[in-house]
Amino acid sequence: MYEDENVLNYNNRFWFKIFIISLVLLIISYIFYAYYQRNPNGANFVGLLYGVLGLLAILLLMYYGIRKRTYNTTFGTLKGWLSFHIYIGVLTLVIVPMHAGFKFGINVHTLSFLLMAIVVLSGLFGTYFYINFPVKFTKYGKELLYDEFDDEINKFINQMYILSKKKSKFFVQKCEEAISYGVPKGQKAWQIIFNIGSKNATSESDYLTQINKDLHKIQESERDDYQRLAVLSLQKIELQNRFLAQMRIKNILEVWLYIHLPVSFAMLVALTIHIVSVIYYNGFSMFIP
Amino acid sequence: MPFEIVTKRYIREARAEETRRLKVEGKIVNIGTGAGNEIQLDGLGVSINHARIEKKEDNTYELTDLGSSDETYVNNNLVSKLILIDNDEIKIGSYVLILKLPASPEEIPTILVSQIEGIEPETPEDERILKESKIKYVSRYQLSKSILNKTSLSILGLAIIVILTIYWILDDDTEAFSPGKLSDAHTQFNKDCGKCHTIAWEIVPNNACLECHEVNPHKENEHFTPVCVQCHFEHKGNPVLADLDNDSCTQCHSELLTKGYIPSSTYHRYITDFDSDHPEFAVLVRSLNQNGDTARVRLNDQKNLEDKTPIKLNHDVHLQPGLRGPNGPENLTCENCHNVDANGEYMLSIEYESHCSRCHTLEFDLRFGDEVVPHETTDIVRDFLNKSYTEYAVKNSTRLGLAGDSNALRQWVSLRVKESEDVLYRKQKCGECHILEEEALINAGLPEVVKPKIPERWFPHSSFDHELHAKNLNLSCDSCHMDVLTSESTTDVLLPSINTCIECHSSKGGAKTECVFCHQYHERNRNVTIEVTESLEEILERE
Repeated sequence: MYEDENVLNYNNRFWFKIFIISLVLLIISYIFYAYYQRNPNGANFVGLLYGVLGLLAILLLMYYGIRKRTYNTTFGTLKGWLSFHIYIGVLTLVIVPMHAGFKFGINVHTLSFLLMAIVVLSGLFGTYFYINFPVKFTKYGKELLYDEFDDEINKFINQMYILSKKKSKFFVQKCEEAISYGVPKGQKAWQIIFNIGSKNATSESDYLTQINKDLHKIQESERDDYQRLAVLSLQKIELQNRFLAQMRIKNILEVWLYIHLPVSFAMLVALTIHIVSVIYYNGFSMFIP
Repeated sequence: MPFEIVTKRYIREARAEETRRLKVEGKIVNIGTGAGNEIQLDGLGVSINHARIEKKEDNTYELTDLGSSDETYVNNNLVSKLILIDNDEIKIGSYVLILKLPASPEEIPTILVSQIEGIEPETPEDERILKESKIKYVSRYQLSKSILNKTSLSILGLAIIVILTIYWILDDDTEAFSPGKLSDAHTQFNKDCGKCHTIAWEIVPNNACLECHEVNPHKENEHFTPVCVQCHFEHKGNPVLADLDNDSCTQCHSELLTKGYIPSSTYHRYITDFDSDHPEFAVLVRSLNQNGDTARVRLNDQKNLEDKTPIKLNHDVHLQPGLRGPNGPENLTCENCHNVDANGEYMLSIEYESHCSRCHTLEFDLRFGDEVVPHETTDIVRDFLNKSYTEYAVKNSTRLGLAGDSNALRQWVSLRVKESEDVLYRKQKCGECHILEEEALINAGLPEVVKPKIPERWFPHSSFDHELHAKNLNLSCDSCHMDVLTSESTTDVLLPSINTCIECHSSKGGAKTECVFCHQYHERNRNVTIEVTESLEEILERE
């Protein structure tokens, strides 16, 4: 057992060893294959063998998605399956070109390989994030829990709302501004990744300065509450900023999954079209050695 | 030494404040969200193990932030470690902790814990409004709640591929499904997949190929006959489909069986590669009988390797320097007699007129100067002599004393013909090269010249390109035909053995070793008619 065991060195690097052995065997087999088969391609028996191997690998890789959601099973540990998922996923980047004899074109066959390559590469990014995620995240404070945060921000808003009750029109207006400040009108999940539309430090500073400047416009009897409003506003902004910084990182770390999963499905369809079209034009007899 | 911890908590439901008192033994009070802390707080801004207050030996109280991911403030100043004094206000998350130090060290210090006061709704109506207007802030930043979430993106990805496929099918863009470029000869079919793929879900049938290609069977008793596409892989980057791998041949020839799984007794049974187990070449030579029959003898079969072709030739003599020629001494080379065909592949037959007549002239009588008899059968030669001498006798009848005496003239002609035939047939004129059949002479008065019938192809089951080897590779003839310079007998077989070829055609030599480089599975006689749908310009433009 490794002290800092992660998904890559899980179980004494079992799947890494399998990966290396498989890779070496595949390369050796391909050297022989390419030596004896002047024109390696996917239609001869050995080429098809690589193809079937690749297909089996892909199906097992996709099974991980099912295994991940199956809790009442003892069919391998989830970490073990993930380790397999990563290493065998990378192996498909070798098996599939071997199946095609390293021949590519502008067609549905190459498209399915390209999609598979995108899936694998996005998965590698995911692996990197998965392993480094906790390290990076601590830079932005303790992870905020979603439910906790919504409650917390609503506490500020509630307090602001109650403060504004039976107050002058100007106070109410300033309170509404404070409540809505930094609260997005629509979905901003993708925008924050690219820092689009987020408030910068200058605009925040200007806003807080303005709140303080407006103090003298507030009637004497409301000034204490207004100062409480200013403090609440500052606390709310701080909380929002901390949350946004965390969400941005969180979303960046999750982007790979929004490529990995949809492209996997697209790849599966392209792969099906590849197999169906090949059998449509060549029949099943090509599988007979 | 214990601490007293006084916790004030606002009970929302009761709209009242609750106070709890707790005594803690020891010198340390831990603060955090974790269950093991003496002061357990919750909510944002509090870490599991957040901070610690410790009574020191000198009766001072030290606050230490335990490296929390959240922050600790004392009197609104961020701190990591600080000696506390009476009434210091410690702020952790939404909590305020006030340390009340005793007047004397013997008394118990008190820590007052309270949550920063929130302004609570005054009426149930306020509560209802606030509940209804609760903002779902987090979901606006969650990718999973975005319209571009995993499900919608997956559906989008699927839709793109499906739409693309439908588009390809409707647009008849069959290249999208084609695994690779067509071979050069088939590019003219362009997108007409149905030209070859006549049946769906099945391999391309032979009759689709035979629409254009006329081929003869390989061997009638072959163990099995592969379908065309079993050897000729289309769409796989082969510009020429006949350019096959050895696998296509060795699938049978590595252990040759004939129909009914009977091991072949006629052909070499085990061939896997040219430079490893290919048998010695079998050359086509004349049999001992005179019917022109031929037989194949391997070049290493010294006992039977003898060329019985009925012709007399001494290569050694012909290649000697200073050979007597029509215009004086000359040096002959191989090319004087052996010339390649128009394709530069094979040697043309040796013809008397082209290759021999310049030196081996057929003069028959000095009366006729350089005039020669035709290089034909003996009866044609006799007709020629009769005609020549008759014309001569008529023309010179007075000088010869034959004028007016036809019998004498005929007799004279007959004598001259006989004399010339003696020169031609008895004094080594024709017999210098040819075998003369004496039995025929007895029966018909004329000898029979045995036709040489030199084989046009010595290796009938393989192809060869002389020009490629001689010109492109700059090889001299005797590089391969090594014994030719010393050969004195017609019976010598001067063809190169497999070892000569293997010097280059091997993995070591680097030249090709594929079976199809020399052999053909099908006969060459093709009668191909292809319906061309595109002009050459169109094909080139498309390519």
